Amino acid sequence: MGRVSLTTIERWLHLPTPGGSDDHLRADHAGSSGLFQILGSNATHLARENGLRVLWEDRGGEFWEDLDAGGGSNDPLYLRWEDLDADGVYVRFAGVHRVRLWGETAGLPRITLKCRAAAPSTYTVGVALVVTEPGASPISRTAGAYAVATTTSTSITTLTATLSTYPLAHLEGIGRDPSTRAIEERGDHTVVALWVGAWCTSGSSGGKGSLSGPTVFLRPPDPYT
Amino acid sequence: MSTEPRILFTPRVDAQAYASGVTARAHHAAVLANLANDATGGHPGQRFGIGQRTAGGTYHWFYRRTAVAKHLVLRATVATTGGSYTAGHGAVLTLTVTDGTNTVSTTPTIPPGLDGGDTWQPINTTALRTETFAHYEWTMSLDALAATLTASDNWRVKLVATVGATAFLESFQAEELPRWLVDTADSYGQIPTDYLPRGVIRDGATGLQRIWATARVGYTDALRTYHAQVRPEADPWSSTSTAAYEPLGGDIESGTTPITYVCRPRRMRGTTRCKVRWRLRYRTVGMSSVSHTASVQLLTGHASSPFAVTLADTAGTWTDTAAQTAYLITDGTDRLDTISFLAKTQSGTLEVSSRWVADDPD
Repeated sequence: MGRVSLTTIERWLHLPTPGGSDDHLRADHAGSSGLFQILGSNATHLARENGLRVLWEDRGGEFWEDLDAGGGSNDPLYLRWEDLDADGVYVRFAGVHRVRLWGETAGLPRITLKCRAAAPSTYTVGVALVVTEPGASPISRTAGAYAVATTTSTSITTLTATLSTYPLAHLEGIGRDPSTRAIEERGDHTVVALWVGAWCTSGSSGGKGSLSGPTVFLRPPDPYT
Repeated sequence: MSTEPRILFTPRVDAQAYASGVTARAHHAAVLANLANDATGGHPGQRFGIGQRTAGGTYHWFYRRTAVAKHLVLRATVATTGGSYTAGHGAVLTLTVTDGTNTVSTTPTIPPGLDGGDTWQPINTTALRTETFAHYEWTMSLDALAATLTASDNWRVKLVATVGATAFLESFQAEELPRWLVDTADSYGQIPTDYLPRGVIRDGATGLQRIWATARVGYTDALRTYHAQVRPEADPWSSTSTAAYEPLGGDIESGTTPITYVCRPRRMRGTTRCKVRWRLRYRTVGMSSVSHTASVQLLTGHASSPFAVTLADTAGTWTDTAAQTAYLITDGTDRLDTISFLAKTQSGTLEVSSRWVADDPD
């Protein structure tokens, strides 16, 4: 039988105030096994929870343009990323964001796009979440990943596109004293560049798709919630 | 003061390592110190930004200064509009930060380049628009800001973006940088090598107390921003509804349903709720009586929702609300909750340009 491993009870337990008269970690007090187990569990749970956050949100918009040729595959490579809202597309560069492996599990957190969307009658609306390396274009995507979700519902409905695997890029972060320009701290961190887009198979401004509240956020890797 | 650099990783600490009867060893404390350092300084979660490209405008975000982060990284992306590009067009970015009393607006505390003195231009300007994206990055010292912003930890960041007619500010995003240094001069951070094999563990800054103090700062001060939506002050969300709460103009999903935004609240002590604070930047215009008020509701999945704030007449002056308390749920489907807003006013027009929801752990 394999060894059972427990790193956290997945909740935070308050301990007495550090340095206070009830602090069991103060000098000349024996540290119990339970005390150190709580410390380890708390910090592990904290690292997991603190690593998850909302990365980007937008109010959404209306659009009617379909994917370019090849769009039947629902591949956002064919989204009209270079066009603007006035052209009938919804495409956004959602920025570069720090994403770290999830806690002590070292699993890749899921990146999820959730939004509300509706399609014009007889047509399909799709939304896409694309990850690239910083500086890369979603069109010239050589190392990236994407997830899409579609609906034909004419009533507004929730769409979810989730990426479980994607490339992490490395950036150097440097914090300086602004007066002396001296480096105070520096190090490597992992990031992703995010792109969000939507398309509508009507291809006509007479049949608009709608998208509201697109939000991109981090979730634990499977099977955690 | 002692410092030690660290890389970003989360050590695995098995509960069995601390089982009764197991001999206590130096690495037990050292690994715990590494873990607490990472849990607190390795994952700062506050951020703000513009959701969509802009041809220019004035934007405001709220930010809460805490003990955790030392630097913000700010990233801007500038592109062409896709048509004929006029040489020299780009984005001039002017950043200021205030605590409501004091304001920082000059370099070097404001990073050179974000003081309005440069035009940040796209690249490859004859190429496809997505290939004209030029990415710029700055870091800003929070300690340097705090030296002036002494009146409050509740800060507001203002960005004035002036953009040439053939360019866009495609994106502007900011997030806290993680810590790559353990510094005993900070209110948290334990140097793992304080615990040496066969060494004596002393009380104080090199003792075991500091491990718990470090993790506790991660609980109280490592905050997540759940919602940081802004609109330019020249084109804010607005409400003239005098009868019932309705979605703000510009924030409507359909009919009388507001746009909802999803978040995954941090689940710490309890299993059902996450305490948050929220703020707005608003003004009232054209109220028929100085005693009239407006109201905004924050709607979440919590049983006490909606959470309301009453807004006094400001007679056209943009004003920041005090931090309000609300709760998100942590036991929703997939542990997610939603955020949305409704508003009404007794007269005139209520305008809102910034909305912020962030952790406020209890």
